[in-house]
Amino acid sequence: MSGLLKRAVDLVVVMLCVATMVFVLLRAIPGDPVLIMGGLDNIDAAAVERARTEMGLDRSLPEQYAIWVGALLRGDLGASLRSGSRVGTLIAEALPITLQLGGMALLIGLAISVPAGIAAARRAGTARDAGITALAIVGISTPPFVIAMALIYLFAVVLQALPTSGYVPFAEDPVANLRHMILPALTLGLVAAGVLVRMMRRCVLDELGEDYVRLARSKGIPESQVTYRHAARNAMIPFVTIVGIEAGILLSGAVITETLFAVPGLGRLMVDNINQRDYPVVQGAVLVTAIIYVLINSGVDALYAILDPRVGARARSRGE
Amino acid sequence: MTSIHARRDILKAGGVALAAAGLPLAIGGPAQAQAAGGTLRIGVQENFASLDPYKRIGRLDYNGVINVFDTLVTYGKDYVPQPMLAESWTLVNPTTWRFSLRKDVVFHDDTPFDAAAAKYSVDKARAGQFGSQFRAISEVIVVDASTIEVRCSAPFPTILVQLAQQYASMVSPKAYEAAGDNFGRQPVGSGPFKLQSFEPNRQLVLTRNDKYWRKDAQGRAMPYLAGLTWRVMPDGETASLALQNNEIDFLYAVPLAFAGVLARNANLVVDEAPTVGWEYIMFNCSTAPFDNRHLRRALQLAVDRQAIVETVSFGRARPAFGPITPGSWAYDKSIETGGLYGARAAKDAARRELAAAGVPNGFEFTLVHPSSSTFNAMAQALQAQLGEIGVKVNLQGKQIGAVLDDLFGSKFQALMIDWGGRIDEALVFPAFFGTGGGNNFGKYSNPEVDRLVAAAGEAPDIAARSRLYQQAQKLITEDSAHVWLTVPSEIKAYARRVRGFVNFGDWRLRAETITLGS
Repeated sequence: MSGLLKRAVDLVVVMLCVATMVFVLLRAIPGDPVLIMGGLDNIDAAAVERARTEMGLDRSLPEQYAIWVGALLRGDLGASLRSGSRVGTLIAEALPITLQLGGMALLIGLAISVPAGIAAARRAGTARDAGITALAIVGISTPPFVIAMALIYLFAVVLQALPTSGYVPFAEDPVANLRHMILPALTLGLVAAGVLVRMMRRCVLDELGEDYVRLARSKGIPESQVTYRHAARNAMIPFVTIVGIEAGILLSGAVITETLFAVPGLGRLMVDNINQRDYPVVQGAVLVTAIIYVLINSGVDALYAILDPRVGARARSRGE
Repeated sequence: MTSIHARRDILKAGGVALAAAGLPLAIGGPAQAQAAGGTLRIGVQENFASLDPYKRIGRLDYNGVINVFDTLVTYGKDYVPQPMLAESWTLVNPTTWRFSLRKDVVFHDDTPFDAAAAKYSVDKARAGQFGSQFRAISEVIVVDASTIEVRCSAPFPTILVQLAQQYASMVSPKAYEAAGDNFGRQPVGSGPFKLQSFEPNRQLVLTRNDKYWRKDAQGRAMPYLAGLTWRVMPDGETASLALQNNEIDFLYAVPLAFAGVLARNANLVVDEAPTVGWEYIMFNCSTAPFDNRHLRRALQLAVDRQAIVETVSFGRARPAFGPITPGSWAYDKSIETGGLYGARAAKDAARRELAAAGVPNGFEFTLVHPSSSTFNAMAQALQAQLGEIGVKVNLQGKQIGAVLDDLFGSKFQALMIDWGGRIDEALVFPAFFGTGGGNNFGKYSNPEVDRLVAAAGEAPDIAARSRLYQQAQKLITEDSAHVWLTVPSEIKAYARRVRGFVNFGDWRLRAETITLGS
């Protein structure tokens, strides 16, 4: 109970810090939202002044900040300067898309990296290990847009099996949804897999050098059991930390991939609106990202307790 | 295949007669024997913001607006005003316009379009984003159910052009009142298409308005298509692939780099028309070094426009010779050879100007420009070209927001940027070249130009206005308030089965004339 409370307090503190930072940083970037939105076609000085008043941008920064945080505390993220749409609505539209994409990518990344990492660790130093490691490095060092274009070219242009880009809501047509999502998820999943394979291999290798593994082997336990039941399971604890970081990256929106595949997710929402200097939208989107990170961290901590009973026991003894 | 719409020299004065005669909109009819129906799938590279015509919305949004709403006045490819929801108009006295409205128009919510709706809409436009453009209007009066009178505080000769803009669209007052701030997501107009669904970052789906008032020359009901689906595809390359892959029928804006590839595809048409805009360098005429007219002229002469068009724009633009663009009724082709400068650099003449300024070996200045791929390439080309006459250019590429800050604050020596243009010179000349004009951030001033522009604003007919703007243009180019570089093209690409699209060069996709073959 008190553990939950502590988490909640953490969340509020993180949110307030993030809120303040994003507010200040956004206004530190040169570029006036009114001028950018109007572009060159709307340069009338009177119109610019009026727009600034309507948007509340003529007020002092502390005043703007107080108004925004005040609304935030009431659960109101404000409205887009450009379109007047509620920021909450824009995020509610984009977030599920990004969560689906990030979730699929993470599953793909894990499905590849866990077996491949264990396989590499079991045969460390052999050609198989070198091959897996080389592929992982290719995955890490290839920019996502190259992977994306290669996938589009192969699956959409040559094989004509999948659409090049676009998005269909799951509720509208589940099959079409998956057909559109698979390539962007694969793009992100392959990049994530590169990182995760290396980590999985390292973590398993560390465990395989431990005394308990040597003991298990000396007792005659078959090597596959040693690897999977003992080493791999313990390797999961450090590995989960890395997965948590990857999940944070994937679930907070992948700008380039979402842009290339025309997926209207959180990453695109954020970048489009940074370019437009649509302050309330960016502020709202960054806050949601921060919340996602905090929640993932909590999830990782909870997973520790499951994977390593000692962690759970320690936490209970401290009364968390 | 590339079809470049040749500039039409017609209708310098003839267009007025046509509009006055009240002829129906003279846009080309569809190819014969095309079955009506089908949904046109259009790929666009930006997000939509809103379809509320009076809000701060962008160029792409106006493409939704033009298909959902009508305006009182419209214009053809020659940019000359024509009747639309207003059947005819008269100037009752120098400051009062009277508009007779069509009686057969209903909004998508089945409420009738009448004088009250027209007054409501014009009043909304006056209070909207571009309200300052209607500042001369003092009052809109309902005379009877199908007549309104617009009273102005001063002569307002460009009222017809202004009422033809999408920001003066006619909305259903009932729907607008009911929706309030949400109108942008649930727009109700009287246009050829009506809203089906709208997700600004994903897609806009419009369906045929079966009660649309317009008929084509053969008396058939318009529009022909069953619907339009606008899909947001932010990446130019994937959008181009989607077109080649038949996932979309029409690419709204073809990135320069992909136009060549698409043009080589036998199933596609690449359609290019000059826009009314420019890519140009604005000088700050109020401070050194460019308060010196000779230095401005030196750069003007040293620039090789043709080389920029060929290398930076891949040949898909035109050299710009002054503020009047090739599609305008005021354009005079003789400027291409008879002006101060041509498409090619005139280095000797440029060196003479440097000598006259007392810096025969050149000088140094800073050029601010947006750090986009096109402008970066253009800036490097300019740096090399001007280097040949000894002028050293320090390039300062910045994010567009920072460039606009510099521009609006007149904090630059020279600044390169583009301007989308306006369809009427009266909306360009006073703003850019009038002393104290709203876009005149370089503080250019020439009393003779002011006089000519004022006279053109009140001139009775297009022939007289053309003459006056051409005279003003001559002075402005000789003063070299700007260096005009290129007139960019509006480049569309679409499947061969798409017929009847007319590229106006104003970045508006008018879908009511389009048919879709098999």
